[in-house]
Amino acid sequence: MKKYVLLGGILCLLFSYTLGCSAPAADASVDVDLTVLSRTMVYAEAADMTNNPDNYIGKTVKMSGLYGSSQYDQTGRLFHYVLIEDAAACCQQGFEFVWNGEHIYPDDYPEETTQIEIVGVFQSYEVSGNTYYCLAVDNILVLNSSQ
Amino acid sequence: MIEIIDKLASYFQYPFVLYAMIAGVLIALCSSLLGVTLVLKRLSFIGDGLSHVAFGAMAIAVAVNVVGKQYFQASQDVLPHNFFLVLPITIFAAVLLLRTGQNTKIKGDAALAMISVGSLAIGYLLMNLFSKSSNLSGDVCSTLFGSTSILTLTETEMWLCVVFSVLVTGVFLFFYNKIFTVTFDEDFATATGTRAKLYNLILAIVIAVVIVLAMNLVGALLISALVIFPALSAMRIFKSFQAVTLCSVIVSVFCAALGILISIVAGTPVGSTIVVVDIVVFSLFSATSLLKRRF
Repeated sequence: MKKYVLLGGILCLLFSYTLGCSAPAADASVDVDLTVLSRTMVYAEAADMTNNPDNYIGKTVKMSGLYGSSQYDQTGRLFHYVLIEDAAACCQQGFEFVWNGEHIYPDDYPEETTQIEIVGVFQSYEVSGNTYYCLAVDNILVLNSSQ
Repeated sequence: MIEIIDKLASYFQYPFVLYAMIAGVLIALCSSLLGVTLVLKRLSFIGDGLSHVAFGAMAIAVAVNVVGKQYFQASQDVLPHNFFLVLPITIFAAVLLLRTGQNTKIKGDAALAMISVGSLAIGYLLMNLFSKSSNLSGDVCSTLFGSTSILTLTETEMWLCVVFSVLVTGVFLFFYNKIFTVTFDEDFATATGTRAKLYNLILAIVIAVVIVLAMNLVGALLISALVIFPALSAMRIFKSFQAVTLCSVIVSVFCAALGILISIVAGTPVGSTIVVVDIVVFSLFSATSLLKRRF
């Protein structure tokens, strides 16, 4: 019986070490730091930002994910976004961001599906009576290229 | 260890984590209450069949909303919540399945297989035809495997879970003696004046409610695990109906809570993590039962 208890104890220690190790500290300069959360929590928090955007207006948000862009056919406007995947890697939450300042697409922007990190203020804007939300960012940090 | 506790404490500041924990524990409680009855009545697989029906019904609800929006040019969904269409369809299928076997041309397991696979096919077809987002595979995957859907519940959905869980538990406790009689010997129950058909109908409705609720927690394909594993684990150790039911509830709630905690800390999919915890507990109970018999 002692063997089982000992084995259980070792497994518990290993398990708690695996869960707890190498967790980076949250960035104190931002209100919401998605980069330090687990994959499940990142997706859940991103979904919460979409479901309850008013709770996040004006807050500084840090997030990382795959860069993407697409053009809205009716207006011709180009959208830039960060894709956040869930733990099962089947669901994705896209977050629009606007890069403050003068930047030319595609020269200044990263390549599609590049892993990027952005810090920006969560804000809303209106187009044709509909409210949309985006992050206003000052800088785009390229973490690694997809190529 | 302290680091994990700190991490969990910080995660519990998020309302959606709290909602997930409340809904998850209540859904686990309800499913385990019924699990014992379903296993004893040899209807373990009905959860799987009904979850496929619920998936098909979910796709119908999506299609109704998509078509409704186009037809009425509305910005809001036609249905206030998919739940209000998914639940009646699943209840109807549950009643249909529990009533088959007697006086029907298509017998129990064949009817179950037919409804199950048919619903899955119709559901996938409808989701393809009336997809409301560009990420179709994501929508299907999320519905089938739960993914993180329990962590994306709104406050209203959490309260819906609470209300229906209280109703299910209330019905089970109120009709406990009748359910016990119908579970063990339906013919004897009928002979002694118990309205077995009525209680089977109540059971079918309650099963359907649990399945629809559990879809949020573990997804359509993993619901059966939530229903049968706690009951089977309890049956390894205990023999009386009451003891097995009580143990099953404790095991199910423990596994769901632990599964949710592990998944939010380790970043694993919620549904499959809960089921793996259920499997580990089942293995431990089986080993304990084996040891008890030997010594």
